[in-house]
Amino acid sequence: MDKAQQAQALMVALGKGERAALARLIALFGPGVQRYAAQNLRQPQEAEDVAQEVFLRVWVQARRYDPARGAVSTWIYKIAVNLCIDRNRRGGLRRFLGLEAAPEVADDAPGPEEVTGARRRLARTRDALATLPDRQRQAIMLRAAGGLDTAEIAATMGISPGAVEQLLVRARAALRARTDLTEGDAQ
Amino acid sequence: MSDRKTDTMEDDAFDLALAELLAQSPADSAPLSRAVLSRLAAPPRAPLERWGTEVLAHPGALISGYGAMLLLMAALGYAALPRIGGDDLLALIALGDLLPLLGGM
Repeated sequence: MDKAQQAQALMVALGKGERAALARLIALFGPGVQRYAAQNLRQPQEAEDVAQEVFLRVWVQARRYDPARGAVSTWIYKIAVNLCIDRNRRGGLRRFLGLEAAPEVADDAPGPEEVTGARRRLARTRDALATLPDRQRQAIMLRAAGGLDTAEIAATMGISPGAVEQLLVRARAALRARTDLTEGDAQ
Repeated sequence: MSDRKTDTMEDDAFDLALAELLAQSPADSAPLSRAVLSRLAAPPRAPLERWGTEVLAHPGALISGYGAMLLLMAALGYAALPRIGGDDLLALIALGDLLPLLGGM
């Protein structure tokens, strides 16, 4: 049984109110949703909070999920995308009113010496991702963190597959220019 | 055709490399799962209680709104003053405020 079929079966169990199914669904999609949120929120430390909210909504709305309208992954990531947009919007208003601190600016100073090359590359890549326009970042993160294909990303973002391809092409080009991330050397 | 296929393969490899790199950032599902199930197990809070908690946590927004409303009403009152009695009305209001201090008349 592949991930999509497993998720469909878990949604049926969720509809019957089985909490164990929710835990398994979180094991399947939780890390991806958290990584997506961490990269798409202006306050990355809120990622776990947003991920919790995503799965609480999945629990509450499980009976409303219609498999004919898309894959479970598409449905879950659509909730995550909307929650991140809402959270960023509310954060903007709060910052305007002075109720919330401005997002932390990335520290340009070199990190401690014990920081490994892989961690430095991760930090550099995350910085490069942060400079992408919102839509490009959403698309590339849905691909990389969520593992969604072009059609699923299109359904999640509510745009055409062609538009997704364009976003991905631009995002990859920008990331290639700003990082040393090349195929096959992520390890 | 061949170039296009090569590009697609390069893009797939790039996405895979990015996914593997991002997978190094910590994102454990166990604490997330525990947190979600705990929140489900907790008794639901009434919407009014949630709103009250939000206001108490960040009262600035409500205070700013209230202040803005007071300023707006003061400005409207000032603008409308000539039409509802002008300085005579102000004098009457001031007299009305003084009367309780004098013990009434």
